[in-house]
Amino acid sequence: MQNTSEKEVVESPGLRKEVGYALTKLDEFIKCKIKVVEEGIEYVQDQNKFRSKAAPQISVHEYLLRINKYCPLELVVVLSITIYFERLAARGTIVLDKLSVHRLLVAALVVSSKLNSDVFYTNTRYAKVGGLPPNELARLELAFLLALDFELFLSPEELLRAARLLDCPESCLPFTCLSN
Amino acid sequence: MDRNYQRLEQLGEGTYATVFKGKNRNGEIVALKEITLDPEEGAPSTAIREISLMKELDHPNVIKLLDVIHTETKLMLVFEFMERDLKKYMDLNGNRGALDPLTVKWFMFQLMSGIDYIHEFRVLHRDLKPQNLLINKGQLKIGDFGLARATGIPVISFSNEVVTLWYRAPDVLLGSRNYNSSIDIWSAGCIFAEMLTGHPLFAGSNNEDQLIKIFRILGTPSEASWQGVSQLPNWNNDFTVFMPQSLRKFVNTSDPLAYDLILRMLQYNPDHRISARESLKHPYFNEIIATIQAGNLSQNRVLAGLNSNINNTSNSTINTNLSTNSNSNLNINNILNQNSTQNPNNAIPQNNIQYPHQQTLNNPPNVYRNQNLGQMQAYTAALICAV
Repeated sequence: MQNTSEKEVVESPGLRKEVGYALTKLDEFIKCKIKVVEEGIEYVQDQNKFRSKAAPQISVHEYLLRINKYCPLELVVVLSITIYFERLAARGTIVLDKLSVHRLLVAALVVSSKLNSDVFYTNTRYAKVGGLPPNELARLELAFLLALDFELFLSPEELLRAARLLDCPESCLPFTCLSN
Repeated sequence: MDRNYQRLEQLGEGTYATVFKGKNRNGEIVALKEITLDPEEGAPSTAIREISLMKELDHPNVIKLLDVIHTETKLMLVFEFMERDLKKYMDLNGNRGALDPLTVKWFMFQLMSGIDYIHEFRVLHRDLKPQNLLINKGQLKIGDFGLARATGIPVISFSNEVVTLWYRAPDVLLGSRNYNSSIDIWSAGCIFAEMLTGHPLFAGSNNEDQLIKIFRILGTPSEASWQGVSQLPNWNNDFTVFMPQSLRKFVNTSDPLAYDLILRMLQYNPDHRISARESLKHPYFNEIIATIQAGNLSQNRVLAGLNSNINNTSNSTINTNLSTNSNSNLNINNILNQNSTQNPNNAIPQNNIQYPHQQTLNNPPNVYRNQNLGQMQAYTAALICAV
């Protein structure tokens, strides 16, 4: 339960392979969801926390792969991003566009790892890998939690839907999901 | 921190939070859990887990999260106020920590109802212990979901750094990471025994010592008694072989059904451990189910029943107690506020309580003979929460 970079981690290699594939599908999912940046729109303050002045050079896919390389992600964390982004869209408070997508992603991955995975890294490490100062990541994390009003719980039904969305074989889901 | 809540005295300090007694704008007492946000590490994972899970859970035997307040540097969780945790309750009301059998039964019924609910919700608590069970007016609620996680989701690994050592299941101690809801049942079994005896059943000082303490009582497991045990990471073929002993040597109760249920909870093989749902159907709880059914699930009915009982027992110490009060105070509340340990020999007539399984027992339990008003209070609360 601690921040564990050195702690023994038992892995199932099959599931790890699924993560790489799921990240590619997640990138496609995000591409469909990104709104075109409109000139002259006034954003709420929380939106501004996530926006860069100019779109980052690194593509979303490369960014995901970079994070997964240095802070390996659990499949459930990757799946959860689609659910959280859909919840954000439904709330309409924060818009996913090409200026905000990177910061939203890193904040969502940090929050989801803390919640849904027993193995996660320090925020400082995520910040280094994600390319932003740790105190900014901490502020983004809180803004993300508040934007979703802490509604982060994932039901097996939602996860099953997310797995289908990202084209993960159902064999990577345990029976408790499948039986529902 | 927030003008809607007034902070009163500090109740406790944990690793990541400080808990205060508080008052909301309507003057209602609440518990305020203040969590400091690290400027770099942000919100503790325990806080994120606790808030997101507690927002979803709604059950009479699970503590309620009423509100979440935040500033740039702090989160404040507002919970319903509970008088004390089970550990302190046992120290205060128990006989050297041991609770009377009827109170234990009501608490276990409420604990298993709460566990059944969270397991149905596919949440594992993973840190059940007396300190995390909160008691208020006879009602028991599960609290502190900081280590909880959702189950039924695909993960590469689970941590085995869960559950305070004394309540940790042997499969977790032996390094299993494929554990499931059965780890909460093991903890419940340990708590069950502790309520009856007043002291922890397996009080190990480290991982290995904890296993030995379990083996000494339940016997050292083998492939014959627990298929697959020798494949677990921390299994050692050189473990001293202990023969299983009778639990009666360690847990003193006259109720054979209590032993039976504890043993079903403390099964070595996680697959053989009773589920929370099954445990609620165990005959140990029959009299509670019967009481709830007979009591028509109404607090007023129970109080009314209690009142008539008091009027009928003219020779009992209840009336002696009442006579010391002035007549103007002679009402049900005064009686209910009696400390439960003050009058242990009050006999409450059994005419409105049924024991469906009594005939099946060689030694019918005598729990009701020792029933007192404090327990009746526990009753009432449980009746309401069991609806």
